[in-house]
Amino acid sequence: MTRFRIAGEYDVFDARRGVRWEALATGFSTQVAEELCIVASELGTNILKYGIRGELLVERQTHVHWGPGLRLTACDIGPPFFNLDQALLDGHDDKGPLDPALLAGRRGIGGGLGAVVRLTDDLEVVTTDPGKKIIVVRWLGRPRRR
Amino acid sequence: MSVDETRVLFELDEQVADRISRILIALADVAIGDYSIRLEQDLPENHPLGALAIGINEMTVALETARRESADAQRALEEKLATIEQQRNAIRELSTPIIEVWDGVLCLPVVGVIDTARSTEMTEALLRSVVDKKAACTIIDITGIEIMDTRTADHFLRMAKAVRLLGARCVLTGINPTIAQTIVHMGVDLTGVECHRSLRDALQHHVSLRGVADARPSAPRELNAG
Repeated sequence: MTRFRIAGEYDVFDARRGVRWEALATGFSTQVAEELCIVASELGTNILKYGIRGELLVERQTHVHWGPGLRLTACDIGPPFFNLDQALLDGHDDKGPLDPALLAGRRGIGGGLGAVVRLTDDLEVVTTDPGKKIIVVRWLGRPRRR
Repeated sequence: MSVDETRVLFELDEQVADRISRILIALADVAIGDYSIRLEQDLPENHPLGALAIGINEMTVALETARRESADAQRALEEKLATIEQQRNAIRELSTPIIEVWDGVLCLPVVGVIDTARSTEMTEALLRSVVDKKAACTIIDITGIEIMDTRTADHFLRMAKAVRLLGARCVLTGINPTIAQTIVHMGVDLTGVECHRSLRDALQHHVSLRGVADARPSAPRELNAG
């Protein structure tokens, strides 16, 4: 298990590199490794943007059917999701749809968690005290999309 | 005890009190960070107060040196931190470099990993430079990108359309097969988004277009420049 402290923009770079390495070592193709890099980026940026600061944990897993996989856990100390279903939709944050007029200068388009959902197989959100954990897994033998 | 002896003792007492008060003043100065004071050493060496004064002077000198060294170290550290901050800014700028490769042609080479935050930053920087540099054409080269999330790809196409709204052409180059599939599966309208195989092709195309425009008698650039 590797643990990356996320307190600044540059920690996200580090975490991304770690995730790429770990993904290749788990046996994922370079393409999937890049996809997991995007996931790590989005989770890391979200920690900085909404979660104040936190950690990204990277660990290998094994599933009975789907073989090896990589689990990313993003822990932060920020407030819990107001509405998780909204947050996972593209162009939304956890309060609802974003106004296109207010997107400029926001450093995001509300699509980060959407990308995370698309590029991983399992997603679980756990509320902790303080903060929350977003746990995602990508399996090597990918199950059918739900 | 004779009167003389009493007077000697009394004077000694007064001297001791005086010296002790001077020592106290010196210590108070040291406590507030003033290390310049030195106690005078006019007593014989075997006098206990003389030894105390010497000790205090040595202590003050040592403290002064230590304080100066730590201040120097702190200044050096602050300078290093400032350098790191500058380099960070440089890296941030370099991560979305916008280069004027030709007269009025901006190029935005994209490498590494594209996430939503970065694509937003890129859009803002690009649109700003299109206006600032009065660009006629922008070339976004994504040869260095392996994969893009659908949402980011969508944002990229929107960026291309926004550039057109500013009155410049926008050309995408170096799209790899995976991203091509991603974009096609999104089912977005691709009219108005110009694509070329490579940056070189796009540049050649633009130059040939402009070559025709320049050849018109109404716009002799060389003559105007001369």
